[in-house]
Amino acid sequence: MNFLKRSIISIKRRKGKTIILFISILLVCNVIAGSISVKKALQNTEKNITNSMPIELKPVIDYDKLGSKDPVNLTEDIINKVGKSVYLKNYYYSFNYTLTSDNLESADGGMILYKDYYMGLDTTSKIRYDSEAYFTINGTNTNELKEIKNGKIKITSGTVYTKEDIDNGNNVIIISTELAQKNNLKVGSIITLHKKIEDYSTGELRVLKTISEDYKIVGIFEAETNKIKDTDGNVVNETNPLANYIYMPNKTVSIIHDKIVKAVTELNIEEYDNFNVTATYQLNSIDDLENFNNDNLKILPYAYKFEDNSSLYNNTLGPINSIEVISNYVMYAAILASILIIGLISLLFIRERKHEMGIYLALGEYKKNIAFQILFETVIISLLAVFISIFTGNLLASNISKNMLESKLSNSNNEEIYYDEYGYQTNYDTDEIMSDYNVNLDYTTVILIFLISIGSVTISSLIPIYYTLKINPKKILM
Amino acid sequence: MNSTLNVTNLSYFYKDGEMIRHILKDVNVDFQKGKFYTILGESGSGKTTFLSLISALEEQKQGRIKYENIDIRQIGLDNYRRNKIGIIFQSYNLIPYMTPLENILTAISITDNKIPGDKETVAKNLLKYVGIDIVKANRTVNKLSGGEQQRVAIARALSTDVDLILADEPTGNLDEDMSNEIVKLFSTLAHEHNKCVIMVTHSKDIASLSDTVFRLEKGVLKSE
Repeated sequence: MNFLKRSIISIKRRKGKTIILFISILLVCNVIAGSISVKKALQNTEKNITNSMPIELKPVIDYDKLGSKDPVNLTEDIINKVGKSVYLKNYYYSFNYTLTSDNLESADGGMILYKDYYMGLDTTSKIRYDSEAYFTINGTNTNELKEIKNGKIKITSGTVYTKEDIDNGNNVIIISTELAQKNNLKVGSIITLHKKIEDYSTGELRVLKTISEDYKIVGIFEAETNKIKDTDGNVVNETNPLANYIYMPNKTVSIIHDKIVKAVTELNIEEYDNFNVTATYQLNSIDDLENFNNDNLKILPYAYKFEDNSSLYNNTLGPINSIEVISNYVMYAAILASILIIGLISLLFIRERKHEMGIYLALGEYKKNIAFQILFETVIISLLAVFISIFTGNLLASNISKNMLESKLSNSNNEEIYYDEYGYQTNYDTDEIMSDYNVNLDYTTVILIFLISIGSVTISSLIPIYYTLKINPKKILM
Repeated sequence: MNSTLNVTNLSYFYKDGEMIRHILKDVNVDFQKGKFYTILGESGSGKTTFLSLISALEEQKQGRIKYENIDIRQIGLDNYRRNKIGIIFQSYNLIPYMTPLENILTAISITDNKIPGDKETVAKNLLKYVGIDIVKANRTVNKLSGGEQQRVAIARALSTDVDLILADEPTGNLDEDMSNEIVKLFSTLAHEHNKCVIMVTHSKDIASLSDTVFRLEKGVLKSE
């Protein structure tokens, strides 16, 4: 009849006390389990949102500070120097340019660039007056494209160019499905893109020189499109905003751009150059924003600043964080309450059993065995209570927290939608967050609930154990 | 003959405000195996304190208590209670939700002494020896009469295979017939099983059935 057997006999024979303790543990463990489930669900939702909407900073010119001075361009050296910051998860930079083609037709997309638009002659009409199609060139410093990582595009045919292509500046490109279909192109096809150096000085358009390069298509991408409602109220897909974007390595963009600059210099004319460099830095955490700015602002050229999306981030994640704070408080309060409630109930029951405890002491039982007996009795009762709580707490928390989150989101003006430079929606609206929010039971949640609940019960057992070990058997038994 | 329990210059007192109240004064006594002793005394004479000290439920402040010539503090008070003595209380002090059999198995599991044979068989035999049949052995103890509960308590004291049995007013809650039966049992234990039985009582009649009677008067132990 060791202490473990004694624990089991006590649980079986003292049914009323066992049931009271079981119900008490069940109640507090439900709150603990619920708050942990909600916390985990919120963390998962936050993680999903953060992954698809990371904290980003972009170096931009501060025109107020620049005044009448000429801006200095960002260089690869500066971008890479900032890119070494310890606060970064990732960084991308892109050489952006515009090239044309006589042979290709632009895809029907939302961002078709027409010559009129560029020349400032007609910014409203989308009717082409000549045979040239304009394409936006998006250079990349890596073959792990940001747009693929954040799910904006996916490669449907071929692959992304290789690291070797990036290092060597090979003439390899990725085009959209729409552009490929419009021009009957596929992976392996060669297309020619060019830049015409033109002169308007005489009042007539004269092409002075054409710089051309042939590019091999290595991949075709399909882009995510925003969903909108048409005039009948039906949800339809918008046209692809990246339909006329062509991806190629930064060095490849640089090579054709250098040739054009050289030709313009040789022709000794003034030519509008829309080549520009943009960089995007993704932070590990929004908490690093201030430190990153402090460390890296001084590296940027004069009159540059970092523009960040923290307000957008806070707007989306604010309600989630506030519910997470509440769930944390509920969890800590429940742990404390469980320790006190279970501890005091156990103490009351042990006081009723002080004769029994005195007998064990009088018989010379080891104090550690008496402590283990009390602990086992509570833990054995808890095991079933915690097991049930894992499911019931999860169910209760799921319903309550969904209502709370929905209410918080609707109060935080989260219905407002923000778009990026491509026309993509950048923030999550209430429906998207709610569809992403799921209070599920994964094994880590179950283990966490189990450990915290049993831990609380174990700590609560210290109160009756302390009382028991202080018992003087002589006073009780004689 | 070697003494089983030897008490030398044992005193016990406590402070009551400014006053020091002496409960036991310089007690010297020797107890041996095979004998049944009683400590007789009125209420407040110090007999229960004496028993609590020799049963190590309380540590002595002055004097020495030796079990087989070793100081019980050297043995360790818990260890001494676990392995050297069996205690029987006036109010039986059995675990109420357990059966007699489970109460005895609890004591057997606590002692470090090697129990000869199967523990459950030993427990059943002991219960049979004190007059508890197998049906009663499997009922919870609160369904037994006072006399039966005291028999279970005696069986529990014997179950750890110790030589020294200490009993604190074991007949205090029993009628005369039952008291006589219990005392006879103690006598048998001493004489037939070579145990040293020390019983505290206030009854002269009960004390007269023992081999040696000591009287405690105002903390002083005298031989009768």
